[in-house]
Amino acid sequence: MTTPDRCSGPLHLALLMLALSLLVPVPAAAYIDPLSGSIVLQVVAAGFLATAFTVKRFWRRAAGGIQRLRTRRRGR
Amino acid sequence: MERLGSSFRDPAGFLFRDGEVLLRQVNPEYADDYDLLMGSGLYDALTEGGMLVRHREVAPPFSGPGAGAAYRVLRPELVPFVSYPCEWCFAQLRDAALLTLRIQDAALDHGMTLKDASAFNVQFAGGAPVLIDTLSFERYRPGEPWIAYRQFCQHFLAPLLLMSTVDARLAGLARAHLDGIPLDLASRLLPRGSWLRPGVMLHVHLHARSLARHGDTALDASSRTLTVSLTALRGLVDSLRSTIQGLRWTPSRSEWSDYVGTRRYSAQAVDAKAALVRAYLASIDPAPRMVWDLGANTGEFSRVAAETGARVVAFDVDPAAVERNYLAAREETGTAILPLVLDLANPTPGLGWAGEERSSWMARGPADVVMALALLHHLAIGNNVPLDSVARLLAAAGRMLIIEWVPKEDEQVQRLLRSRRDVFPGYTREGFEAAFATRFRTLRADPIQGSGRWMYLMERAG
Repeated sequence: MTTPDRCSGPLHLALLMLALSLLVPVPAAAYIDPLSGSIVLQVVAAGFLATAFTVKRFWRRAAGGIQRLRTRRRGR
Repeated sequence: MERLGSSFRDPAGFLFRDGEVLLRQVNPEYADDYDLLMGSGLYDALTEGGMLVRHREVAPPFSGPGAGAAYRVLRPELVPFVSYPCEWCFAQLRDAALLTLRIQDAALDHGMTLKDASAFNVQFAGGAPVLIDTLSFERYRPGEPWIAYRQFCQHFLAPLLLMSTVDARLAGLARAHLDGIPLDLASRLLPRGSWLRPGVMLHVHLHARSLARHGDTALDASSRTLTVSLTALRGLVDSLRSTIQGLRWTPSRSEWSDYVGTRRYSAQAVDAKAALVRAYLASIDPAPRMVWDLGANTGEFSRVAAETGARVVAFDVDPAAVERNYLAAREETGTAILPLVLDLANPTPGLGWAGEERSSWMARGPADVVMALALLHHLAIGNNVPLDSVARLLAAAGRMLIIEWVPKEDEQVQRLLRSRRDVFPGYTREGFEAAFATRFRTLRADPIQGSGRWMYLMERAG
Protein backbone atom coordinates (compact mmCIF):
# COMPACT_ATOMS: atom_id res chain seq x y z
CA MET A 1 0.00 0.00 0.00
CA THR A 2 1.34 3.44 -0.86
CA THR A 3 1.57 5.71 2.11
CA PRO A 4 0.56 9.33 1.75
CA ASP A 5 4.09 10.33 2.81
CA ARG A 6 5.62 8.49 -0.12
CA CYS A 7 2.94 9.70 -2.43
CA SER A 8 3.47 13.34 -1.54
CA GLY A 9 7.30 13.16 -1.45
CA PRO A 10 8.17 14.07 -5.08
CA LEU A 11 5.34 16.59 -5.22
CA HIS A 12 6.53 18.06 -1.96
CA LEU A 13 10.04 18.32 -3.33
CA ALA A 14 8.99 19.98 -6.58
CA LEU A 15 6.73 22.44 -4.84
CA LEU A 16 9.36 23.34 -2.29
CA MET A 17 11.94 23.94 -5.01
CA LEU A 18 9.40 26.29 -6.50
CA ALA A 19 8.96 27.86 -3.09
CA LEU A 20 12.66 28.48 -2.90
CA SER A 21 12.52 30.45 -6.10
CA LEU A 22 9.76 32.53 -4.58
CA LEU A 23 11.92 33.60 -1.69
CA VAL A 24 12.43 37.01 -3.20
CA PRO A 25 14.60 39.50 -1.30
CA VAL A 26 12.66 41.94 0.83
CA PRO A 27 14.10 45.46 1.23
CA ALA A 28 16.40 45.63 4.24
CA ALA A 29 15.04 47.55 7.20
CA ALA A 30 16.42 49.33 10.18
CA TYR A 31 16.85 46.43 12.58
CA ILE A 32 17.86 42.83 12.36
CA ASP A 33 15.22 40.28 13.21
CA PRO A 34 16.78 36.83 13.39
CA LEU A 35 13.33 35.27 13.11
CA SER A 36 12.32 36.92 9.86
CA GLY A 37 13.75 34.16 7.69
CA SER A 38 11.99 31.55 9.78
CA ILE A 39 8.66 33.34 9.47
CA VAL A 40 9.04 33.94 5.73
CA LEU A 41 9.78 30.25 5.20
CA GLN A 42 6.66 29.23 7.12
CA VAL A 43 4.54 31.63 5.09
CA VAL A 44 5.96 30.39 1.78
CA ALA A 45 5.67 26.72 2.73
CA ALA A 46 2.24 27.11 4.38
CA GLY A 47 0.25 26.00 1.36
CA PHE A 48 2.30 22.85 0.91
CA LEU A 49 2.30 22.03 4.62
CA ALA A 50 -1.45 22.47 4.85
CA THR A 51 -2.04 20.36 1.73
CA ALA A 52 0.30 17.58 2.84
CA PHE A 53 -1.26 17.56 6.31
CA THR A 54 -4.81 17.49 4.96
CA VAL A 55 -4.04 14.67 2.52
CA LYS A 56 -2.26 12.71 5.24
CA ARG A 57 -5.14 13.16 7.67
CA PHE A 58 -7.67 12.18 5.01
CA TRP A 59 -5.62 9.11 4.11
CA ARG A 60 -5.32 8.04 7.73
CA ARG A 61 -9.06 8.36 8.23
CA ALA A 62 -9.78 6.49 4.99
CA ALA A 63 -7.29 3.75 5.90
CA GLY A 64 -8.82 3.54 9.37
CA GLY A 65 -12.32 3.27 7.88
CA ILE A 66 -11.26 0.51 5.48
CA GLN A 67 -9.61 -1.35 8.34
CA ARG A 68 -12.78 -1.12 10.43
CA LEU A 69 -14.89 -2.37 7.51
CA ARG A 70 -12.58 -5.35 7.01
CA THR A 71 -12.67 -6.16 10.70
CA ARG A 72 -16.48 -5.99 10.68
CA ARG A 73 -16.71 -8.30 7.65
CA ARG A 74 -14.34 -10.78 9.24
CA GLY A 75 -16.50 -10.65 12.35
CA ARG A 76 -19.53 -11.70 10.31
CA MET B 1 16.28 35.32 48.04
CA GLU B 2 18.45 34.33 45.16
CA ARG B 3 17.47 34.72 41.52
CA LEU B 4 18.72 31.80 39.42
CA GLY B 5 21.48 32.58 36.94
CA SER B 6 19.63 30.68 34.22
CA SER B 7 16.46 32.72 34.50
CA PHE B 8 16.79 36.22 33.10
CA ARG B 9 15.78 36.20 29.46
CA ASP B 10 12.03 35.72 29.67
CA PRO B 11 10.02 38.86 30.59
CA ALA B 12 7.15 36.56 31.59
CA GLY B 13 8.86 35.70 34.89
CA PHE B 14 11.86 34.11 36.52
CA LEU B 15 13.01 31.47 38.98
CA PHE B 16 14.38 32.23 42.39
CA ARG B 17 15.28 30.39 45.56
CA ASP B 18 13.78 31.13 48.94
CA GLY B 19 16.15 29.15 51.13
CA GLU B 20 15.92 25.61 49.83
CA VAL B 21 12.63 26.22 48.05
CA LEU B 22 12.57 26.89 44.33
CA LEU B 23 9.91 29.37 43.24
CA ARG B 24 8.84 30.90 39.95
CA GLN B 25 7.56 34.45 39.75
CA VAL B 26 4.94 35.26 37.13
CA ASN B 27 5.21 38.88 36.04
CA PRO B 28 2.08 41.00 35.45
CA GLU B 29 2.75 41.20 31.71
CA TYR B 30 2.25 37.43 31.54
CA ALA B 31 -1.00 37.48 33.53
CA ASP B 32 -3.35 36.95 30.57
CA ASP B 33 -1.33 34.08 29.17
CA TYR B 34 -0.97 32.46 32.58
CA ASP B 35 -4.71 32.70 33.18
CA LEU B 36 -5.37 31.18 29.76
CA LEU B 37 -2.94 28.32 30.47
CA MET B 38 -4.71 27.53 33.72
CA GLY B 39 -8.26 28.27 32.57
CA SER B 40 -8.24 26.69 29.10
CA GLY B 41 -7.62 23.18 30.38
CA LEU B 42 -4.15 23.09 28.82
CA TYR B 43 -2.35 22.93 32.17
CA ASP B 44 -4.55 20.03 33.32
CA ALA B 45 -4.17 18.18 30.03
CA LEU B 46 -0.39 18.52 30.06
CA THR B 47 0.17 17.70 33.72
CA GLU B 48 -2.22 14.72 33.64
CA GLY B 49 -0.30 13.45 30.62
CA GLY B 50 3.01 13.86 32.48
CA MET B 51 4.18 16.39 29.90
CA LEU B 52 4.49 19.46 32.14
CA VAL B 53 5.68 19.72 35.74
CA ARG B 54 2.93 20.43 38.21
CA HIS B 55 3.05 23.53 40.37
CA ARG B 56 1.05 25.08 43.11
CA GLU B 57 0.48 28.75 43.59
CA VAL B 58 2.06 30.15 46.72
CA ALA B 59 -0.54 32.20 48.48
CA PRO B 60 0.29 35.81 49.17
CA PRO B 61 1.83 37.42 51.08
CA PHE B 62 5.03 36.35 49.47
CA SER B 63 8.30 38.02 48.87
CA GLY B 64 10.93 37.70 46.24
CA PRO B 65 13.24 39.66 44.06
CA GLY B 66 10.79 42.15 42.58
CA ALA B 67 7.99 40.52 44.53
CA GLY B 68 5.95 43.68 44.66
CA ALA B 69 5.40 43.37 40.94
CA ALA B 70 4.56 39.66 40.91
CA TYR B 71 1.26 38.49 39.47
CA ARG B 72 1.67 35.00 40.93
CA VAL B 73 4.41 33.01 42.60
CA LEU B 74 4.51 29.31 41.76
CA ARG B 75 6.15 26.42 43.53
CA PRO B 76 6.97 23.85 40.84
CA GLU B 77 7.58 20.18 41.49
CA LEU B 78 11.30 19.52 41.23
CA VAL B 79 13.02 17.04 38.95
CA PRO B 80 15.57 14.83 40.75
CA PHE B 81 18.54 16.10 38.76
CA VAL B 82 18.93 18.91 36.25
CA SER B 83 20.63 17.74 33.06
CA TYR B 84 21.51 19.50 29.84
CA PRO B 85 21.05 18.51 26.19
CA CYS B 86 24.80 18.13 25.69
CA GLU B 87 24.65 15.36 28.31
CA TRP B 88 21.83 13.43 26.64
CA CYS B 89 22.11 10.46 24.37
CA PHE B 90 20.36 10.34 21.00
CA ALA B 91 17.16 8.70 22.27
CA GLN B 92 16.84 11.24 25.09
CA LEU B 93 17.09 14.17 22.68
CA ARG B 94 14.65 12.47 20.30
CA ASP B 95 12.14 11.84 23.10
CA ALA B 96 12.49 15.44 24.27
CA ALA B 97 11.88 16.67 20.71
CA LEU B 98 8.76 14.55 20.28
CA LEU B 99 7.48 15.72 23.67
CA THR B 100 7.89 19.34 22.60
CA LEU B 101 5.86 18.67 19.44
CA ARG B 102 3.14 16.85 21.42
CA ILE B 103 2.95 19.85 23.71
CA GLN B 104 2.69 22.25 20.76
CA ASP B 105 -0.19 20.15 19.39
CA ALA B 106 -1.94 20.24 22.75
CA ALA B 107 -1.32 23.98 23.05
CA LEU B 108 -2.91 24.60 19.65
CA ASP B 109 -5.89 22.49 20.73
CA HIS B 110 -6.37 24.91 23.63
CA GLY B 111 -5.84 28.17 21.77
CA MET B 112 -2.23 28.58 22.84
CA THR B 113 1.20 28.07 21.31
CA LEU B 114 4.74 27.46 22.54
CA LYS B 115 6.74 30.66 22.42
CA ASP B 116 9.91 28.80 23.42
CA ALA B 117 11.14 25.45 22.18
CA SER B 118 14.43 25.30 24.04
CA ALA B 119 15.80 21.86 24.84
CA PHE B 120 16.90 23.32 28.19
CA ASN B 121 13.22 23.58 29.11
CA VAL B 122 12.96 19.80 29.07
CA GLN B 123 14.19 17.59 31.89
CA PHE B 124 13.97 13.88 32.66
CA ALA B 125 12.07 12.34 35.54
CA GLY B 126 11.04 8.71 35.91
CA GLY B 127 12.60 7.79 32.58
CA ALA B 128 10.55 10.27 30.58
CA PRO B 129 11.02 13.85 29.45
CA VAL B 130 8.92 16.61 30.98
CA LEU B 131 8.62 20.33 30.24
CA ILE B 132 9.67 22.40 33.23
CA ASP B 133 9.02 25.91 31.94
CA THR B 134 5.42 26.71 32.81
CA LEU B 135 5.72 30.13 31.21
CA SER B 136 6.54 28.82 27.72
CA PHE B 137 3.01 29.33 26.43
CA GLU B 138 1.21 32.30 24.93
CA ARG B 139 -2.16 32.90 23.34
CA TYR B 140 -2.35 31.68 19.76
CA ARG B 141 -3.37 34.45 17.39
CA PRO B 142 -4.94 33.15 14.17
CA GLY B 143 -2.56 33.47 11.26
CA GLU B 144 0.52 33.77 13.44
CA PRO B 145 3.52 31.61 12.40
CA TRP B 146 5.27 29.46 15.02
CA ILE B 147 7.67 31.86 16.65
CA ALA B 148 9.71 29.01 18.18
CA TYR B 149 10.16 27.13 14.90
CA ARG B 150 13.77 28.15 14.37
CA GLN B 151 14.63 27.40 17.99
CA PHE B 152 13.07 23.95 17.74
CA CYS B 153 15.05 23.17 14.59
CA GLN B 154 18.30 24.37 16.17
CA HIS B 155 17.82 22.70 19.55
CA PHE B 156 16.38 19.39 18.40
CA LEU B 157 16.23 18.64 14.69
CA ALA B 158 19.72 19.77 13.70
CA PRO B 159 21.61 17.82 16.38
CA LEU B 160 19.44 14.73 15.88
CA LEU B 161 20.09 14.80 12.14
CA LEU B 162 23.81 15.29 12.61
CA MET B 163 23.99 12.48 15.15
CA SER B 164 22.01 10.03 13.07
CA THR B 165 23.32 10.78 9.60
CA VAL B 166 26.86 12.09 10.16
CA ASP B 167 28.43 11.14 13.50
CA ALA B 168 27.05 10.76 17.01
CA ARG B 169 30.04 12.68 18.38
CA LEU B 170 28.60 15.84 16.83
CA ALA B 171 26.32 15.89 19.86
CA GLY B 172 29.25 17.74 21.42
CA LEU B 173 28.34 20.79 19.33
CA ALA B 174 25.47 21.39 21.73
CA ARG B 175 27.94 22.42 24.42
CA ALA B 176 29.40 25.11 22.17
CA HIS B 177 26.06 26.35 20.82
CA LEU B 178 23.68 26.90 23.72
CA ASP B 179 20.91 28.23 21.49
CA GLY B 180 21.12 25.16 19.34
CA ILE B 181 23.21 24.30 16.33
CA PRO B 182 23.03 27.13 13.78
CA LEU B 183 21.08 25.87 10.78
CA ASP B 184 23.64 27.09 8.26
CA LEU B 185 26.26 24.99 10.05
CA ALA B 186 23.97 21.96 10.16
CA SER B 187 23.14 22.43 6.49
CA ARG B 188 26.82 22.51 5.60
CA LEU B 189 27.65 19.43 7.68
CA LEU B 190 24.81 17.26 6.40
CA PRO B 191 25.46 15.09 3.35
CA ARG B 192 24.18 16.33 -0.02
CA GLY B 193 21.80 13.40 -0.19
CA SER B 194 19.85 14.91 2.70
CA TRP B 195 18.44 17.47 0.22
CA LEU B 196 16.33 14.64 -1.16
CA ARG B 197 14.50 14.18 2.14
CA PRO B 198 11.61 16.67 2.10
CA GLY B 199 11.61 17.28 5.86
CA VAL B 200 15.35 17.89 6.02
CA MET B 201 15.28 20.04 2.92
CA LEU B 202 12.54 22.26 4.29
CA HIS B 203 13.39 22.49 7.98
CA VAL B 204 17.17 22.67 7.70
CA HIS B 205 18.46 23.50 4.23
CA LEU B 206 15.80 25.93 3.02
CA HIS B 207 15.35 27.23 6.54
CA ALA B 208 19.05 28.07 6.76
CA ARG B 209 18.95 29.85 3.44
CA SER B 210 15.83 31.76 4.34
CA LEU B 211 17.41 32.88 7.62
CA ALA B 212 20.49 34.08 5.77
CA ARG B 213 18.46 35.82 3.12
CA HIS B 214 15.99 37.53 5.40
CA GLY B 215 18.15 38.17 8.44
CA ASP B 216 17.91 41.88 7.82
CA THR B 217 14.24 41.89 7.00
CA ALA B 218 12.02 43.80 9.38
CA LEU B 219 8.58 42.29 9.59
CA ASP B 220 6.64 45.44 10.39
CA ALA B 221 2.90 45.98 10.54
CA SER B 222 2.47 45.57 6.80
CA SER B 223 4.16 42.18 7.00
CA ARG B 224 1.37 40.89 9.17
CA THR B 225 -0.38 39.98 6.00
CA LEU B 226 2.18 37.15 5.97
CA THR B 227 0.00 34.64 7.75
CA VAL B 228 0.06 30.91 8.30
CA SER B 229 -3.21 29.05 8.67
CA LEU B 230 -3.83 26.80 11.65
CA THR B 231 -3.88 23.79 9.30
CA ALA B 232 -0.48 24.79 7.94
CA LEU B 233 0.81 25.24 11.48
CA ARG B 234 -0.38 21.76 12.37
CA GLY B 235 1.18 20.56 9.13
CA LEU B 236 4.48 22.13 10.19
CA VAL B 237 4.38 20.29 13.52
CA ASP B 238 3.36 17.06 11.79
CA SER B 239 6.16 17.39 9.25
CA LEU B 240 8.72 17.97 12.01
CA ARG B 241 7.37 14.94 13.88
CA SER B 242 7.55 12.69 10.78
CA THR B 243 11.09 13.84 10.11
CA ILE B 244 12.20 13.15 13.67
CA GLN B 245 10.37 9.84 13.94
CA GLY B 246 12.26 8.73 10.84
CA LEU B 247 15.63 9.31 12.50
CA ARG B 248 17.50 6.37 14.00
CA TRP B 249 20.88 5.96 15.54
CA THR B 250 22.31 2.48 15.78
CA PRO B 251 25.51 2.63 17.79
CA SER B 252 28.43 0.73 16.40
CA ARG B 253 29.93 -1.85 18.74
CA SER B 254 31.85 0.26 21.17
CA GLU B 255 34.29 -0.86 23.75
CA TRP B 256 32.09 0.23 26.60
CA SER B 257 28.58 -0.61 25.58
CA ASP B 258 29.83 -4.11 24.88
CA TYR B 259 31.70 -4.32 28.14
CA VAL B 260 29.04 -6.18 30.11
CA GLY B 261 28.93 -8.88 27.46
CA THR B 262 32.66 -9.30 27.10
CA ARG B 263 34.11 -8.64 30.52
CA ARG B 264 36.64 -11.19 31.66
CA TYR B 265 35.92 -11.60 35.32
CA SER B 266 33.64 -14.33 36.53
CA ALA B 267 29.94 -14.32 37.28
CA GLN B 268 30.95 -15.09 40.86
CA ALA B 269 32.93 -11.83 40.99
CA VAL B 270 30.00 -9.87 39.57
CA ASP B 271 27.63 -11.31 42.17
CA ALA B 272 30.15 -10.63 44.92
CA LYS B 273 30.57 -7.06 43.71
CA ALA B 274 26.82 -6.48 43.61
CA ALA B 275 26.46 -7.95 47.11
CA LEU B 276 29.12 -5.60 48.46
CA VAL B 277 27.55 -2.55 46.79
CA ARG B 278 24.18 -3.55 48.25
CA ALA B 279 25.63 -4.07 51.73
CA TYR B 280 27.59 -0.82 51.69
CA LEU B 281 24.59 1.22 50.57
CA ALA B 282 22.41 -0.42 53.21
CA SER B 283 24.92 0.50 55.91
CA ILE B 284 24.82 4.22 55.12
CA ASP B 285 22.78 6.23 57.58
CA PRO B 286 20.75 8.22 56.69
CA ALA B 287 19.81 6.25 53.59
CA PRO B 288 21.13 7.98 50.50
CA ARG B 289 18.62 9.89 48.39
CA MET B 290 20.95 10.68 45.49
CA VAL B 291 23.64 8.36 44.13
CA TRP B 292 25.99 9.24 41.30
CA ASP B 293 27.29 6.17 39.50
CA LEU B 294 30.41 7.35 37.67
CA GLY B 295 31.47 5.18 34.76
CA ALA B 296 28.12 3.42 35.01
CA ASN B 297 28.34 1.75 31.60
CA THR B 298 24.88 0.33 30.87
CA GLY B 299 23.77 0.76 34.47
CA GLU B 300 24.10 -2.74 35.93
CA PHE B 301 25.18 -1.46 39.35
CA SER B 302 23.04 1.68 39.07
CA ARG B 303 20.11 -0.71 39.31
CA VAL B 304 21.58 -2.26 42.43
CA ALA B 305 21.80 1.24 43.93
CA ALA B 306 18.25 2.06 42.84
CA GLU B 307 17.00 -0.93 44.88
CA THR B 308 17.70 1.12 48.02
CA GLY B 309 15.13 3.71 46.94
CA ALA B 310 17.74 6.28 45.96
CA ARG B 311 17.66 8.32 42.78
CA VAL B 312 20.62 7.33 40.65
CA VAL B 313 22.32 9.40 37.99
CA ALA B 314 24.31 6.99 35.83
CA PHE B 315 27.12 8.84 34.08
CA ASP B 316 29.23 7.36 31.34
CA VAL B 317 31.56 8.74 28.69
CA ASP B 318 30.24 6.44 25.98
CA PRO B 319 27.04 7.62 24.25
CA ALA B 320 26.33 4.04 23.13
CA ALA B 321 26.36 2.76 26.71
CA VAL B 322 24.16 5.66 27.82
CA GLU B 323 21.77 4.97 24.94
CA ARG B 324 21.40 1.34 26.00
CA ASN B 325 20.98 2.32 29.63
CA TYR B 326 18.33 4.95 28.78
CA LEU B 327 16.37 2.62 26.49
CA ALA B 328 16.31 0.03 29.29
CA ALA B 329 15.40 2.62 31.95
CA ARG B 330 12.59 3.96 29.77
CA GLU B 331 10.93 0.55 29.94
CA GLU B 332 11.14 0.44 33.75
CA THR B 333 8.04 2.23 34.97
CA GLY B 334 8.93 5.21 37.12
CA THR B 335 12.61 4.34 36.99
CA ALA B 336 14.92 6.02 39.48
CA ILE B 337 17.80 5.94 37.01
CA LEU B 338 18.84 8.86 34.84
CA PRO B 339 21.60 7.91 32.39
CA LEU B 340 23.76 10.80 31.14
CA VAL B 341 26.82 11.24 28.96
CA LEU B 342 29.74 12.69 30.89
CA ASP B 343 33.47 12.66 30.33
CA LEU B 344 35.02 12.84 33.79
CA ALA B 345 38.24 14.06 32.21
CA ASN B 346 36.32 17.00 30.76
CA PRO B 347 33.01 17.35 32.61
CA THR B 348 30.34 19.93 31.73
CA PRO B 349 31.62 23.36 32.85
CA GLY B 350 29.50 26.36 33.82
CA LEU B 351 27.98 27.58 30.58
CA GLY B 352 26.29 30.65 29.16
CA TRP B 353 26.24 34.18 30.48
CA ALA B 354 28.97 34.75 33.07
CA GLY B 355 29.44 30.98 33.07
CA GLU B 356 26.42 30.84 35.40
CA GLU B 357 23.49 30.32 33.09
CA ARG B 358 23.96 26.56 33.16
CA SER B 359 25.64 25.01 36.18
CA SER B 360 28.75 22.94 35.91
CA TRP B 361 28.49 19.23 36.58
CA MET B 362 30.14 19.66 39.96
CA ALA B 363 27.87 22.54 40.99
CA ARG B 364 24.87 20.25 40.58
CA GLY B 365 26.16 18.10 43.42
CA PRO B 366 27.22 16.91 45.80
CA ALA B 367 25.57 13.50 45.79
CA ASP B 368 24.95 11.55 48.97
CA VAL B 369 26.95 8.66 47.56
CA VAL B 370 29.37 8.44 44.66
CA MET B 371 30.05 5.03 43.15
CA ALA B 372 33.28 4.62 41.17
CA LEU B 373 33.27 0.98 40.14
CA ALA B 374 35.92 -0.25 37.71
CA LEU B 375 36.72 3.38 37.04
CA LEU B 376 39.90 4.26 38.89
CA HIS B 377 42.31 2.60 36.46
CA HIS B 378 40.76 4.47 33.53
CA LEU B 379 41.35 7.80 35.25
CA ALA B 380 44.75 7.02 36.76
CA ILE B 381 46.24 5.01 33.89
CA GLY B 382 44.02 5.77 30.90
CA ASN B 383 44.07 9.53 31.55
CA ASN B 384 47.29 9.94 33.59
CA VAL B 385 45.39 11.57 36.45
CA PRO B 386 47.33 11.32 39.76
CA LEU B 387 45.52 9.32 42.43
CA ASP B 388 45.32 12.28 44.83
CA SER B 389 43.65 14.35 42.07
CA VAL B 390 41.07 11.59 41.62
CA ALA B 391 40.52 11.59 45.40
CA ARG B 392 40.03 15.37 45.38
CA LEU B 393 37.43 15.18 42.59
CA LEU B 394 35.49 12.36 44.23
CA ALA B 395 35.55 14.10 47.61
CA ALA B 396 33.97 17.16 46.01
CA ALA B 397 31.39 15.03 44.22
CA GLY B 398 29.89 13.22 47.20
CA ARG B 399 29.77 12.66 50.95
CA MET B 400 30.24 8.89 50.77
CA LEU B 401 32.27 6.92 48.28
CA ILE B 402 32.04 3.33 47.11
CA ILE B 403 35.14 2.68 45.07
CA GLU B 404 36.63 -0.40 43.46
CA TRP B 405 40.36 -0.93 43.47
CA VAL B 406 41.55 -2.65 40.29
CA PRO B 407 45.14 -3.91 40.64
CA LYS B 408 47.74 -3.54 37.94
CA GLU B 409 47.75 -7.30 37.38
CA ASP B 410 44.06 -7.17 36.38
CA GLU B 411 43.39 -7.97 32.76
CA GLN B 412 41.58 -4.67 32.22
CA VAL B 413 44.56 -2.69 33.48
CA GLN B 414 46.93 -4.80 31.42
CA ARG B 415 44.84 -3.95 28.36
CA LEU B 416 45.40 -0.25 29.06
CA LEU B 417 49.14 -0.83 29.50
CA ARG B 418 49.49 -3.02 26.42
CA SER B 419 50.28 -0.19 24.06
CA ARG B 420 52.08 2.16 26.40
CA ARG B 421 54.97 2.32 28.82
CA ASP B 422 54.13 1.69 32.45
CA VAL B 423 54.91 5.04 34.05
CA PHE B 424 52.66 4.42 37.03
CA PRO B 425 54.87 3.04 39.81
CA GLY B 426 52.55 4.66 42.37
CA TYR B 427 49.54 2.70 41.11
CA THR B 428 49.51 0.20 43.96
CA ARG B 429 46.91 -0.61 46.56
CA GLU B 430 49.06 1.04 49.22
CA GLY B 431 49.48 4.13 47.02
CA PHE B 432 45.72 4.27 46.44
CA GLU B 433 44.93 3.97 50.15
CA ALA B 434 47.49 6.65 51.04
CA ALA B 435 46.18 9.08 48.39
CA PHE B 436 42.56 8.65 49.46
CA ALA B 437 43.37 8.77 53.20
CA THR B 438 44.05 12.50 52.85
CA ARG B 439 40.39 13.13 51.97
CA PHE B 440 38.44 10.08 53.12
CA ARG B 441 38.06 7.82 56.11
CA THR B 442 37.81 4.16 55.13
CA LEU B 443 34.82 2.47 56.77
CA ARG B 444 35.05 -0.89 55.05
CA ALA B 445 37.37 -2.68 52.67
CA ASP B 446 36.58 -6.12 51.27
CA PRO B 447 38.12 -8.32 48.60
CA ILE B 448 35.83 -9.07 45.69
CA GLN B 449 35.68 -12.85 45.58
CA GLY B 450 36.65 -14.33 42.25
CA SER B 451 38.88 -11.41 41.29
CA GLY B 452 41.98 -9.66 42.58
CA ARG B 453 39.97 -6.49 43.14
CA TRP B 454 38.91 -4.78 46.35
CA MET B 455 35.87 -2.73 47.26
CA TYR B 456 36.01 0.22 49.68
CA LEU B 457 33.38 2.21 51.49
CA MET B 458 34.72 5.62 52.42
CA GLU B 459 33.37 8.70 54.14
CA ARG B 460 34.58 12.16 53.26
CA ALA B 461 36.82 13.52 56.00
CA GLY B 462 35.97 16.88 57.51
